[in-house]
Amino acid sequence: MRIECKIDGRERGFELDPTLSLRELLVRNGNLCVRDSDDGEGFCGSDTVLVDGTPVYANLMLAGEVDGREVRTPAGLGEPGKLSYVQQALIDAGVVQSAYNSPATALLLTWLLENEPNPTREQVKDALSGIYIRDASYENYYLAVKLACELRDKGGYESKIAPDYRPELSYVGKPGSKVDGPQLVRGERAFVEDFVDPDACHLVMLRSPYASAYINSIDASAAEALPGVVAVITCFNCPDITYMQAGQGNPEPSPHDTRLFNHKVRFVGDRVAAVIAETKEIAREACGLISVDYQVLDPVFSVEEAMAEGAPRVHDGIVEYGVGAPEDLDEYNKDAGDEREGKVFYPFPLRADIHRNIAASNKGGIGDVERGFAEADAIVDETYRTTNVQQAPLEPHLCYAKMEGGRLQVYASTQVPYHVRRIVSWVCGLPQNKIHVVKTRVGGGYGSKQDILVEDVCAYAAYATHRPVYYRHTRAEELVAASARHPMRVRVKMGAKKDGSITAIFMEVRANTGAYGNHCLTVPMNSCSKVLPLFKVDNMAYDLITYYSNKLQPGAYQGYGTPKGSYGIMMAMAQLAERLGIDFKDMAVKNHVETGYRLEILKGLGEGREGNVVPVGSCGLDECIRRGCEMIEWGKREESDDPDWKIGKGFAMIMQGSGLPGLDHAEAICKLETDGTVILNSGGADIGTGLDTISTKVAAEILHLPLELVSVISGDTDSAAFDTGSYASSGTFFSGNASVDAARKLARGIIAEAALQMGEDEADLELRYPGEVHSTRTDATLSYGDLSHACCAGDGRGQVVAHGSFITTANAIPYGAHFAQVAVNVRTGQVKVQKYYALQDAGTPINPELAQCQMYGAALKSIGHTLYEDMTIDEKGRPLRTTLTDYGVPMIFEQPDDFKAVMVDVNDADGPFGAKSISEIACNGAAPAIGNAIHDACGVWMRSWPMTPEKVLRELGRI
Amino acid sequence: MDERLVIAASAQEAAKLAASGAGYLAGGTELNRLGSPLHYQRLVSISRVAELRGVEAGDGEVLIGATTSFQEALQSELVPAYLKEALLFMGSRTKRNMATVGGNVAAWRDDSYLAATLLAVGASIELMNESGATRRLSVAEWAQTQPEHRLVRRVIVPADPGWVTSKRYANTMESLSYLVVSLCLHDGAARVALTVKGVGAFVSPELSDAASRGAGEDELVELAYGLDATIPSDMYGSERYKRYLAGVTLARMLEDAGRDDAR
Repeated sequence: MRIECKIDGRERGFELDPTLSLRELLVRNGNLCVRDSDDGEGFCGSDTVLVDGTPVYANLMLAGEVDGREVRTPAGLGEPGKLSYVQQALIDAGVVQSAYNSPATALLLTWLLENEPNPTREQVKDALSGIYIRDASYENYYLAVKLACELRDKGGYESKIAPDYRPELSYVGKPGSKVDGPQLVRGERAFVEDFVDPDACHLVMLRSPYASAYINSIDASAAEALPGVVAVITCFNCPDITYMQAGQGNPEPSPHDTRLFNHKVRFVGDRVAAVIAETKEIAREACGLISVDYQVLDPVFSVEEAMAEGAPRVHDGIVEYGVGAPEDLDEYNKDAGDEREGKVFYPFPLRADIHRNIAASNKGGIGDVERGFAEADAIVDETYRTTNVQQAPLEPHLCYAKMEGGRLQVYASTQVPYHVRRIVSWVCGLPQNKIHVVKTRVGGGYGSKQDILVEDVCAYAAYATHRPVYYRHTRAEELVAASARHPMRVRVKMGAKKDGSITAIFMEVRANTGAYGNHCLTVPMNSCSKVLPLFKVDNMAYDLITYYSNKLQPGAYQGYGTPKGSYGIMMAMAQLAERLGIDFKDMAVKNHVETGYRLEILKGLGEGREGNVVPVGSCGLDECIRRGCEMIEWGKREESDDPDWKIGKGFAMIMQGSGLPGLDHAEAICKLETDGTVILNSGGADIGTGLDTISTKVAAEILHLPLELVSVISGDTDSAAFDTGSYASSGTFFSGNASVDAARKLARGIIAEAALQMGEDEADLELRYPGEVHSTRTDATLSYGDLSHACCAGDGRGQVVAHGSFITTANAIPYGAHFAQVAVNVRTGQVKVQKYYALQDAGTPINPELAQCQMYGAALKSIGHTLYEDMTIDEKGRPLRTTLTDYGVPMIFEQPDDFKAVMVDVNDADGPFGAKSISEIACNGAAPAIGNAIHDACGVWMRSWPMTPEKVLRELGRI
Repeated sequence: MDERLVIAASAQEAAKLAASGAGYLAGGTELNRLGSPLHYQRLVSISRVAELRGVEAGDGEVLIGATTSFQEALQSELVPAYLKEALLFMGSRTKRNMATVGGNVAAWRDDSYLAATLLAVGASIELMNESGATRRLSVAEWAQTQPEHRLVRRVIVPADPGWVTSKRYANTMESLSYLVVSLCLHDGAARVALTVKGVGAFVSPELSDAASRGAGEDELVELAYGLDATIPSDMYGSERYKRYLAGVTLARMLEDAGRDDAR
């Protein structure tokens, strides 16, 4: 069919299959910014375009229907080299973060403002009602619209975007200037999918229908015979390399318990075979031609089933250790099962016992908890349960790999480029110098892209076939086979005296690591290590065990184990306060740590090693609680006009970390180019949160340069030096500090070189804006450009280059308090979050508007986890929620009407310019704050998340 | 002519093509979405047929062209408030721009946005066959028969059927609903319709009778527990929860009606 239409103002004609989706037509036309994050479900809105001036989902419209019509895409906004006022306002409001949907929101808000020049909040809400945002929530989109109106009408902003910090500094602590903002909001080439070559083959995965089964045989002959099929990879022809997919520091505190393909499948959705074919359609067809003979086994799904006497063993192979093997290992291995089980390799002991499905365990504490409980006037002993919930980034897991110049090039949407390189190196048997990982922009990570779930197999497929291979998870695969939060059972026993002084805390954590042991020790450890140090209590103990099961493998998720520990301990403390007749706030204030308190509890809570005992550094907890209580009017009872709705308030103290002291490592290389500009090669991985902007700002600040004269190249394993990656809240603290170190060393190098060129003493020289060396003695100046040119002119001493790095044993702990006001319908069980206030001590927020949006985003995600998100499986382990519609993420309707993120100004001694981490901690408050608010509203204690209406009704005794 | 997609110029042309096996394509939110159960080799787009679009006032009725989008219906002053309440159950503005009133009736899903409300008010639809003949039947009849290939030409709702309210339950605004309860009260007589995920949309005579009598919450909940429909326990909640919710929601609706002097 021939269609004629106008696309972004240009007349176009196409000869095409009219039943092609409009999005497919637009992508073929070069409109890469019309993206797809739900496989055509009509949910996320990444595919939003305007047809004859009306917003529609391009995936749900057929190309043939636009014949004679006008289509506008985000690519038509702005002018070459110049952003539109809406695009600019979105960047400045801080909402362009991972940005997979930024082009679509720019288009929608442009449409809105063209039709309603001064829209109300409700109209903004309506316009964005079909857009899914996971990173920044929706709050600052309202601000973006306001800013856009001001920019349009007045040429500048009157509204305050975010607070400023550190007036003595030029860039640090000031809003604006996200370096990748223009690229992302325009929808330019940025993500992995944008780098896929036209001749790329496609990888499609055949997945297990069974929760536990041996693979007796696979007949792939029919698939292999299908024209266009390049290869079929299975457990019978893949490398016999046992590894793990968690992107953690080497040696990892997780067992190596998987291969590319195993002879035993361990969850519904586990890998069975990868088909590499010249088109996706052929690969899919070939998957259907593969015949697999399974020997189905009994599964276990819950920790209770896994721990039961005689329970089926999820892993029953030989166990090996890197170091520290127990003396009776040979005896232990005599009880190993079928050789199809494979093996489990522990880089070092994690107190595991796979014969009892125990993947890892730990216990310890300080003081004498039994004595502490004996001294208590009241004790609570409660158990809280949490389910699998998912990161659900807009951009799914995807990877593109190809051989180039005899090296394996891997385009990855990853938080851990160097860990990707290491694991690909293991799987392919290639040395690291033969592998080049290019971290593209990341369309949402939240921990999910700390795990190497697609890069291993995609890179191996490209290496084995010498064909370029593209592998992209469908949304269903994301919900069936990508990682998620570890479900946990957290028992908290807490005792206190009548005056509210806590005498003892005991935490018993039983975690479910599913089929494989990614993060199996560290996530549950986090449930204690990022919770117990909130308390100045002498007697504290923990006992945690992680069990294998036949559920999908969990992994890293923003907050890691902390949201679950926070939930348990804050709910228990609230219950104890009530029992003692003490206000929860008073009890919190009485027992929380303050600056200088020595955190002995951390000694046993390292990541598989002994932890670092440190004193509390900066701590704004008191201020967070005080201000939050004022904001929410703590203690004031709110009444609803409707007798069915009861209103209550709650809050929770929270903490996290800033990277992993003693484990994390970051590096940066800073070069003075021959014109005096600077390129900083950072090992850090910017996952949309603004790490590159942080590196740019700190380098420009230190080198006294305009921001635009500093360029940051990051996450490319060829151009930068090693960095453990962006996880555990390490980005700003570790990678940022490495950039600070590199910039300071470059500054020293510039001074040293200038002293030689100028014939001055170094002590008399200073760096000045906009990039010159100034002598305080002679008033002489030398521009960086002249200096560097002289260095590289054939008779100089060579380019000024500096190598910075950062390791530390210091722990810049962020603290905070999150407050919620909820309304509970005591007849229907519905819960509405009316108000949510996130207050955190933020150190110096280097990018304040981005930091604030990350607090909003994390809090809204956690509201979703608390109230409705759930990865339900049936009795055979089959996932029931395989679309975002069924999974149920919060969108603009679910956001609290009154939503505030407040950064309490507390400078930190160890962070770059006083910064510490900010976003991950914001995942930790919602469950206990909302849980306690529900209790305040209607008297019931919610002991499991999600706190669904049905559970509320059951607690109320109504059903 | 490429028969894979024909852009129909008239309703009759569309009905003719459908009679020969083509599927109707209106807004596309049902037919083109991921996981749609509907698959056709040939499609006939009815989105440009003028006679199928727009809202008109009739004799005590409002006639809504089948391809009128949810958003257009919301913006029409003729569309009664009770129907707008149901139209707004579809949260996404972008989807409302695409989804059509007739399409929602034609799909008649078990999580339909409109079905319970249309049943409760006794709405009708106008069908056209391939020869251009039209006939009118109640939505309740449509729900039972759903004659193949007939073009839903218009959805006809009473302009003022009495006191009407609908309540939708879903995990989030954008989630599929597991229960919609609709109540229409007119001259003391109540008609109660439910849409239950896994069951579908239906009028409940038992609940209608009880509501007409002004039954209280306990009785309504007990009646809901005893409803004949096979309501599943599923990922949305237990059967008991959903039955309870139907009863208690209806009770609340009746209380609201009492406050509004609608009884």
